[in-house]
Amino acid sequence: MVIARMSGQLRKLAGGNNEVEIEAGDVKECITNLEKQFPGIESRLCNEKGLVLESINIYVNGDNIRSLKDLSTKLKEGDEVDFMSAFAAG
Amino acid sequence: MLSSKEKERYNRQLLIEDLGIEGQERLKKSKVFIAGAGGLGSPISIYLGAAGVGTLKIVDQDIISLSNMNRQILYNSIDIGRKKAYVAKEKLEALNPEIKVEVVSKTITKDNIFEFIDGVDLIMDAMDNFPARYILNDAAFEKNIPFIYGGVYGLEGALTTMIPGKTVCLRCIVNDAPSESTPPVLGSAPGVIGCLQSIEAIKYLSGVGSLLKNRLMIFDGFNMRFREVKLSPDLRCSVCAQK
Repeated sequence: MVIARMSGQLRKLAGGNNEVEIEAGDVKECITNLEKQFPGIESRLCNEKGLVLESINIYVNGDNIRSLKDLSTKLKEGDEVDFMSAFAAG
Repeated sequence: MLSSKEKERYNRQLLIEDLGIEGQERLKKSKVFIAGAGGLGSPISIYLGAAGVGTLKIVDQDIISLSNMNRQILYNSIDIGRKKAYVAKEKLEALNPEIKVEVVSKTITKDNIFEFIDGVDLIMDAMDNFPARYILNDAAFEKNIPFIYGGVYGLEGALTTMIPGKTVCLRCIVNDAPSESTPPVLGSAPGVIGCLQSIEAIKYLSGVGSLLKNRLMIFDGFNMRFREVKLSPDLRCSVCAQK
């Protein structure tokens, strides 16, 4: 199990839970399994080509997956996956 | 030189060994641009003013409204209908008559930003939307002026300190920000983030401590937790890749 965490606007997509434990071997699978639990969440994270939206950052244990292996970034037990949209209000 | 009144006013922070008289004098000589006088701009300007930052330049075109009252602590209900910039000047000069407060009641644009940041040591982001933040970011990196980002949503928020040539810029972090006409905000969330931004500013200006560089600090008020993520430069970034 990994911990998937939603921040900002994404939080409400996970039913107001900002931390969810989920089975996943990589980030792509993490999103697929989140979609099963919270239908509609995938389209707020990825475009129709399956690429992460420019407005979204995904971090695995604090590192942006864009500097790792993107959606193919491997996950192991206990990893923390942060899904973040920007905090825009002031 | 600090006057005896200033030494008394700042007595508690002068006791911070790393700050001391020299750090306080550096604060006094500093000029900070605060972009926005709302939920973030209120705690930022109050704490920078109270700490003795010599000159605050504040730009905000807005008029105080009832829906500002849950978070914009510079203002009282009696101020509703007045321009934020002018009320902010009154409140901050009353708080600390030793500082200068320059205000402009205008919208910040790509065309006027350079006149506002001319001669400032630091730019504080206290805006409520990303298009305006990108104007600040691009100007900060063009003029090599440090820029402290803060933003909130609901009970959450984030901040980072950006130094041109040494850190990522805001466009490296998010280059296509979401827009939402009226995002939810609990007043104390910009209170937390604005206070942390003011600590970063005071550290940068006085030379105390180490800065939140290439790290995004995230405040999660739902679970009362702070966490951090690492920020990496976007090598394709049009603003900072060549710096």
